[in-house]
Amino acid sequence: MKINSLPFINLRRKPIRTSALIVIALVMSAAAFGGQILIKSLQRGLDSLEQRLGADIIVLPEGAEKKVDLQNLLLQGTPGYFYMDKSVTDKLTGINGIEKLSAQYFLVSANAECCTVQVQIIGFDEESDFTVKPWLKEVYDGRLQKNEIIVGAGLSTRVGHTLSLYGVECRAVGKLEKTGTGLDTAVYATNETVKGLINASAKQGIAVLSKQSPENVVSSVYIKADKGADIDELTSKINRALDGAQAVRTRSMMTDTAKRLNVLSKSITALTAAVWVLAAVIMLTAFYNSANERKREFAVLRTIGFSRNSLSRIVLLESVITAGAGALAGVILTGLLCFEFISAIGKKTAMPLLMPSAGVTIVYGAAVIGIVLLAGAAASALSAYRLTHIDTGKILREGC
Amino acid sequence: MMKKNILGIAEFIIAALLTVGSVTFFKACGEHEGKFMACHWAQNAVTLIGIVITLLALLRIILKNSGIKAGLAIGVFLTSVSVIFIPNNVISLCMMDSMRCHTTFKPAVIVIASVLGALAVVDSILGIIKTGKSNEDK
Repeated sequence: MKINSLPFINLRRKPIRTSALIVIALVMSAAAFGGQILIKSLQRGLDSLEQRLGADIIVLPEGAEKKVDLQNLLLQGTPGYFYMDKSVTDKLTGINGIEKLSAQYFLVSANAECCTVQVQIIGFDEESDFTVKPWLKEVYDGRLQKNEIIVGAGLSTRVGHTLSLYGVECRAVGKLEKTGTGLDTAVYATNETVKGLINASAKQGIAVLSKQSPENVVSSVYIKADKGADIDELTSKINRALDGAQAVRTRSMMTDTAKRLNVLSKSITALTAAVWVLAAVIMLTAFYNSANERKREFAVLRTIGFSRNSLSRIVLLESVITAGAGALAGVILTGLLCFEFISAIGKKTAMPLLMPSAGVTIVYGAAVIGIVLLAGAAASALSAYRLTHIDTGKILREGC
Repeated sequence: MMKKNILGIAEFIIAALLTVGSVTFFKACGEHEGKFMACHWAQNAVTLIGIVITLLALLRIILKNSGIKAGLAIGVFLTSVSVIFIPNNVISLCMMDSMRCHTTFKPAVIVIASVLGALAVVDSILGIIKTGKSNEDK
């Protein structure tokens, strides 16, 4: 028997203790890794939403519920539609401090042929657009033709394939990058295509839409302020100039989400800390008890010539094996759970969630494994000290 | 008896969870206007393979020969890995990422089948080592 294999034999001889230590390490790593990944996903989702909107101010029809509808659309992908007179766009052009503006028209599809949920269709003006095309992952040549669409990353429709909307076969010519927001499940088309879809809907008996064509109404106007412009002042100026419409600062739309993110982050951190304190106490107790139980075993090993260093090495190696196995299993399992269930968590919490990149996730995983290994080694250090400083003769004579 | 079959019992429980869960708490999108969507067929395939894995795991517990046990564990491992690829790779799911088949069914199948596969691969390796040792003893 080799001395190096002694820790493995010891661990195998006490399967319940070994399993319990592995489970404790697994819980510690799962809490730390899962918590961090969730916090980072929330932060990244919120950043992504801010960048994705790309505008400083959004003009919507008047009414608090319209703001809620837009938030639901952005955060949960709940299809919505609301309209205001197109003259709003002309009035906005005359206001100083606006660098760019682009109007969008929201339409909700009837159930698309291959799925029973409705799809958000967004009609946009290619000339003035600065919020859709910068997010194109697969760039198409030229301009959008009639019945050509750009699809969000959350739709399975591939570039070159078609999607049936109100019975019209629309060809996907571009796909946007994943943003973790509700906009991932939207479809973008030119106003000409949208008009075609409204006519098709009228043929299917949904005539109400024909009164609200993109020729007469718009749903929202995205505004990019001039560099150095006071955005709050510009928002007030727009609100004073418009009737039947309201200007909202993009950042203020995300304030509620940012506040919830803050509360969630604090809760996750507190929960992780509680789990770690509890796990550390359990780990210390487990090693302390095992040191008491193993006094005779170590006394025998001392009498047959094992040095204090080699005995310490055995104890430390045992803790490294159990903590390492638990931490690795915890990180892999939590990583898999987070990666797979991120959409479900985002849907339940109504928060934009975007997983950190693979590289960042691996770095976090490695850091968590390292910290759990250190915690395990620290917990066993006390036990190692006690076991290597026992009175061998007394233990063997008196048995305790 | 219990100690020898601990991995087999764990495999059986997880395979049963996969089978039952795929038609209950993590089932794919439901029927709509009398029509089943694409994900329904992925759900059926997962349920069917789940039943096969459950039976394999049951045989793995009942039979005594360590070689056969190892063979069955390998079978559980390979079928578990194949289940991972059913949702959205072998059989398409619905159109939107936000639909139940994407947010609940697919993640649950992948996580459960991965845990089952990891257990089965450990079981297979231990079984092969054990069979090798008992053959050497003979």
